[in-house]
Amino acid sequence: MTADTFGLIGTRTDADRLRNYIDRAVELFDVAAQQGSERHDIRIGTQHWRLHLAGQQPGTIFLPAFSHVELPGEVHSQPDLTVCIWEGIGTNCPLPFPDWDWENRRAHSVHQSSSDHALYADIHFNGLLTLVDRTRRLAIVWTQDLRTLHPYDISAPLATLIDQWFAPTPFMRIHSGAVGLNGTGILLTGKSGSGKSTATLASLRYGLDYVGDDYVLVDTETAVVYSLYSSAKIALENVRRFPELGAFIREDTRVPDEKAILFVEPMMPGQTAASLQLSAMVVPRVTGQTSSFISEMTSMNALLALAPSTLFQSGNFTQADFLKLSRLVRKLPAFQLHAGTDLAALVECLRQFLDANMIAAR
Amino acid sequence: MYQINAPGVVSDTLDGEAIIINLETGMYYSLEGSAAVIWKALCEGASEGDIALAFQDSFDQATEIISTFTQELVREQLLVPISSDGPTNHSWKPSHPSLPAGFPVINRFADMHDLLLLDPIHMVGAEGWPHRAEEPHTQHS
Repeated sequence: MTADTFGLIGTRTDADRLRNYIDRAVELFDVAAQQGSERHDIRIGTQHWRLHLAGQQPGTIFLPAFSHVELPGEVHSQPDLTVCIWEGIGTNCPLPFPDWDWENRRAHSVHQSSSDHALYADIHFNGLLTLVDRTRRLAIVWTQDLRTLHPYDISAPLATLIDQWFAPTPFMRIHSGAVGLNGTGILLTGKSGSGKSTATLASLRYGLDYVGDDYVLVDTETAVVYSLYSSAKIALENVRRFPELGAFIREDTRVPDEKAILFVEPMMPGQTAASLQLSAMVVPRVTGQTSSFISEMTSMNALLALAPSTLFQSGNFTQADFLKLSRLVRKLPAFQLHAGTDLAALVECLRQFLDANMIAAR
Repeated sequence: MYQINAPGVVSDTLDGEAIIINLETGMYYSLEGSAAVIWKALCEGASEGDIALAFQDSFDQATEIISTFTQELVREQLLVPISSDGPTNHSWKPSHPSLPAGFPVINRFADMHDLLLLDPIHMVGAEGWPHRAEEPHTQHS
């Protein structure tokens, strides 16, 4: 009987390499943290995460989008996950290049995991390294130079980590906005240009509860949506429709051909809902007409609006992830929002729809 | 016989329609009516012959139509052939006695394709990481 009989050849080596690398990363983080660090406890879905940042710079990238889910005061309970974050250049504590072969090249990233998926490593194309040790409830997020990160690392930080951490659970980060009223919400789902962001920002302006405009966390079993980020994105040419938001745009995200970023919590404190029970899925479509109305649509078209953009942007998805999305679509009636140009009327249309659908997801 | 080209291809059927996503190519697809039934049958291990038999009352040239459709799925890298020595689902029967009318058609969507053109490890600036050849930090290795 050989080791191969147990399927150990190869897998143990990979796991050992990953584990040793994570151990080394923790040592280097401790060195970096000696130069100054800060700790922030946040609520991600139903979990408590502790973000431990070394150096002064990472906080400007990774923290603003989580300001609305920061737990107040000194938190003594054990977190569900501790995330160590630092930058190589700023702390002079760079990580060595991993000595394993990257596999499973997908959109945006390459990654590697141990055979039991307890250990995971991912390099995003922007140079952000994410390491996860599920057994130790520990994650490492590191980049050599924060300047290589993309504005979406500011609007949707720790995306890879969130995707990976929740992969074995019913929870999933999905590419949708969500708004609601009195505890009930709708998912606003669609590709870029569908009018999703406009509908979400209009909802914010006219007083609906805001959960997120681009990415939200959803429990696909219970159809409860959780706010992940307080960020909102807006095309610069769209600022004329929302002039009140212009002053809140983060200057370093005014990038040509990209949407600029602003943060809802400081702009409209208390308007972000932590979670809502979903009652429907709504797929916007810009009509160019003045008025708005809502009509039924097939579940298949709703899944086509939701799944490809969520899964391809995740970069590392599986059949199990896809089935989570189709399970969610099965739970929710699907509708098309024919989005008109009168934003007040559009939100009134959504408000009446929410009033009529204020029932638990079927 | 064929099987779904896993793990790069994921699929599910909803209300009799199938959606298929190919994460390797960035393409995704929807199949309705007879196309969804044939796709599901092929994924369940049914042979083209068994499927053609089921559709013989629907199409005049069922064998050719099923074969052409199947080869299109193979060309799109959604299905891969498996050995004829492998397990065969000879018991496959359509779940509904009346099969959907109409020729099988593949609806293709390419709007996500550009996302896959990004190169994960070569789009970082010279000052960034990873750059094996210019590693400024090999002392930590």
